[in-house]
Amino acid sequence: MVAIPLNNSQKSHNEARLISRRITQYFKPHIKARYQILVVNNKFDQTFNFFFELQQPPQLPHSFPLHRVTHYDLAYLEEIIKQLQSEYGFTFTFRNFTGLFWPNAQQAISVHHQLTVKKNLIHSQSLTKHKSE
Amino acid sequence: MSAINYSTEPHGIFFLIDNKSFYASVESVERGLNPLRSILVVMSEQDNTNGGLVLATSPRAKDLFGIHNVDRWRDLPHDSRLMIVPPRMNLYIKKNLAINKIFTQFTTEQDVYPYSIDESILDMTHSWNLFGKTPQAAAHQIQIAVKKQLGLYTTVGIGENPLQAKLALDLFAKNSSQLSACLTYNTFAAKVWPITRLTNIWSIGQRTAAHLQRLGINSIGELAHTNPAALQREFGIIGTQLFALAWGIDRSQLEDQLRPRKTSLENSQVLPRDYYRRSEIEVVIKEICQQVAARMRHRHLCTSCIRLSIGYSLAATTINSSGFAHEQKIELTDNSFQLEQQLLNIFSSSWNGAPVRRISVGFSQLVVKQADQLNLFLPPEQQLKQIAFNQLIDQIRGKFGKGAIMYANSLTQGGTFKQRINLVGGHNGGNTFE
Repeated sequence: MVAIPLNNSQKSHNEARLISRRITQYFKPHIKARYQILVVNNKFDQTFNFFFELQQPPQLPHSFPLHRVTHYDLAYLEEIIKQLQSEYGFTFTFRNFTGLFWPNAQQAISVHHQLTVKKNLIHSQSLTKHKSE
Repeated sequence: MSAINYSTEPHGIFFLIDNKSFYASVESVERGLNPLRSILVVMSEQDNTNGGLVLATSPRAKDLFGIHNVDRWRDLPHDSRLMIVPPRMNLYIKKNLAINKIFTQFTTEQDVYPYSIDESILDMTHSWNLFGKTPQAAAHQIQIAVKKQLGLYTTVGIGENPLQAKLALDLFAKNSSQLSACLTYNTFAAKVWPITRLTNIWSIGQRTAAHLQRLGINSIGELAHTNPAALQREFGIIGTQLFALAWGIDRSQLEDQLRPRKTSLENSQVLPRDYYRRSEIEVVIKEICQQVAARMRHRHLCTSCIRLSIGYSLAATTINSSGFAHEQKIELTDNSFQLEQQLLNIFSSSWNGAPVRRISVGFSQLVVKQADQLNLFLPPEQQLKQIAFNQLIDQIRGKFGKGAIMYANSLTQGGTFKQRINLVGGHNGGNTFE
């Protein structure tokens, strides 16, 4: 029997399902707990790494690895994220995606980071101004 | 100051390269964080760690909170900046291989000697000058290559022999801003002899340090100026090694493969709680026995000497007894059933009923298996069935994984096999997340 190769859409669907299964494993609803999904652009290994981050005071924050997407393509990642976001209302944090845009949605991936960069810029500008004064 | 002629000693250029807070750094890079700035600890939260055992701490977490490796969960500060992450031993092994591969860009593959999961010795004698004007410059090139390709920081100890490189790493490089330091025969005395905290020196542990202090030796300089014959009388062969250590002398030839005179296989477990019941303890002894026996059969070996070591719970430990360790000669075998039986006999004859916390099983006097020796006093069918059974179990595990088949008694109270399937070196392998 010859195995039919999966297309990217099917693959991304499978990876999203896998991540989803693992989220279910870690997600235990608690009062005052914060849950978020961290997605990291790992430029060294050329992978996208997924983590489940849990903060439930007074316990210390935990970060559990969920999955590593080895198909290093933003369109592929976008598919996975879309499926996960349709399923979960958690905050998704994107790290090391500064300056990158979702290929289909044409939106900046990590708005938070861009804001931080802008804030830092403003801060450094005001510092320079302050110094020159 | 020096009274030893170093001209006849081996003069090479050796780098001992250590990955700074390796597990924590790998986890930081995986999370897109800078390993020197992240605040995290890698903590094993297995049942037998009493809530959690710190395996690695990022440098910043060390600075901020003074956390050390092997600290317990209860020692951690309640600070929300501190992130707890589970270990992934398989990932660390993979990264270690990747790092060693980078090292082969700077010296031949034969001259890279992995020393531990996060340390390697590089014999750079013939290649360092291809990468810089000084050994330090070459070391810096290696540091840059590892940082660029893997995002990890490395610390380099440089010496004219592996011992000097190791001491340079442990004593000076880790605190240097360049993350590198160098020791030579010429600088050794000035830099190392003033050290009075003897346990800071590689190979000197608490007991040796206490022994040296009892002899009135309180610094490496004093050790260097002690009569080597007296040291040998006091410590045996280790005494001469200590004397050589104090003078920075290491005559080991790394390319010579060491062949241990006696080989043995051993596995041990710290139990998740104190075990009081005989049946529970016996289940774990059987599980460990099967594990070691499978390793032995995998290497086509047989044993004629078995060893069982039992450690009692801390509460039951007295000055006279903290457990027992017994060896027994047996007929040459690789049969799990026979081995189990013999180990249980040792246990029955030596256990005084105290709660048990640690179990270790070892097989020694190993020889290559030539054939199966049947016992004249047992029915041959029964023996052949046991041999075929062991082979079948090994084949199933080889093909489908360790957890594909297990004895039903592992599901009884006390069994640890199921929980330990995915562990690597006693910690989470992280296989399921790759």
